[in-house]
Amino acid sequence: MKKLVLAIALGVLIMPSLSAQQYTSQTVSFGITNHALVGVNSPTLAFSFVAPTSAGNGLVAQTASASTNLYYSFMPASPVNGASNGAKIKVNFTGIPQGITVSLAVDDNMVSSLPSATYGDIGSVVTGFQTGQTLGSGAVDIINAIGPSYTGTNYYVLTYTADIDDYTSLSSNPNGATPTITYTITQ
Amino acid sequence: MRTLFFSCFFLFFSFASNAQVVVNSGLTESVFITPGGSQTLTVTLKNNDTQPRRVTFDLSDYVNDCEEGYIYIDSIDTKNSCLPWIELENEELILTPGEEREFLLQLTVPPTFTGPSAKTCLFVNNAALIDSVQEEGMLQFGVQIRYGINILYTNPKANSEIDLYAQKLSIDTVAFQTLAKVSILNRGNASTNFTSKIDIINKTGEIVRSNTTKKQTIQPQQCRTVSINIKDLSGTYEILVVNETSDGQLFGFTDVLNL
Repeated sequence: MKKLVLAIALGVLIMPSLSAQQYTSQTVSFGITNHALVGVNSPTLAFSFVAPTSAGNGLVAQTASASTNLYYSFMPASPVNGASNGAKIKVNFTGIPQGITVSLAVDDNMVSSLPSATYGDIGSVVTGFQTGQTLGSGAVDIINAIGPSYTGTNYYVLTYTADIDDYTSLSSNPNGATPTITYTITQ
Repeated sequence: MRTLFFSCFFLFFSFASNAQVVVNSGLTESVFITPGGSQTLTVTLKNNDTQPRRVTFDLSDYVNDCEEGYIYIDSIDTKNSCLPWIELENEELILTPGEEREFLLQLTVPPTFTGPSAKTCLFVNNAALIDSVQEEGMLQFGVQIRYGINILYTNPKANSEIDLYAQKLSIDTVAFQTLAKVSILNRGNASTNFTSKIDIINKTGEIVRSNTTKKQTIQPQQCRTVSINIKDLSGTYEILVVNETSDGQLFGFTDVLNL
């Protein structure tokens, strides 16, 4: 009888401790840092307008093209109330020499079919830039609706075409300054 | 051979995407403080290059345009700008290779401000890279990468109003899809999150296509485009769009689609 009372008392003491162990919790955190990276594979973009070699000829070509590959990685900050807030990539030229217009076509063949489970929500090319659109002086969206994603070894191919539209305005060193292409990632 | 491959791979990638200062914090900073208050915002920067890199900072106001997105403007957008309230830690920084550091800016809301919201954009500009060798007959463009961090202020004491207005319906063919796109403008004075349920209904009242979009944010005077795939549909249909905000407000739109 004494043994039975002892066993019951011991059981009563042990049970809460066993039961408490079943509900022990541990805090787990996932260290995903938000980030935004845009990269192109060339530090400069050059259009070749070769001088004529025979008197009476104009520049060898009136049109010149140059391509660059664009990559990005994007991880937004924690979305507010679960809302997505897609990023976009804009481009603008400053200092396009007089007499020349520049158009841009964005080819997303390499990235458009990437599986979203692996690469995330890859952005879409803005209407008009799939086939080519003339660039003005302001910044314009070329890729939008970018969710958490990365392009990996794949990339968008950006093909710029420079056309001479007014020969009278051309000069060999238009303003002494290097024109600049700016890629902006924003949200 | 394998070593050579990995060396080339590494060189390619370090050149393609790392040779710059990157932003390791969000591209949107939201501030909710009462007028008269002040808040310090932190932008985390990292130099991923093996060379020291210089970055410059400047603020620019912008307006939202449905067709062109953000249009950055040189002047101050007086009614909607928080640009004059911001003090930057510095106008430029030089980061050593691999250095990570925080850049601070302080936003102080004037006590007299009664508007519902204000916004501006902080640009983090990498210095433009140019080829040191100039070739005859070559028109060279330097390439610059910059980060636009939107700073959105909401006045918790002001009456906020949301008005999601469907202002344009268009049909667009992209890749293998034909999309009906509806451009939605927030004519109110506050930001919100919303989802859109889009239905395509035939003449007998049957829903033949349906799409519910992900929740997304929309600023005052900003446009968001929602779409539904209508490939292989022909004839006359009705499109019905119901936008629901996070606080339960509903905004509807309907139109006829002749396909």
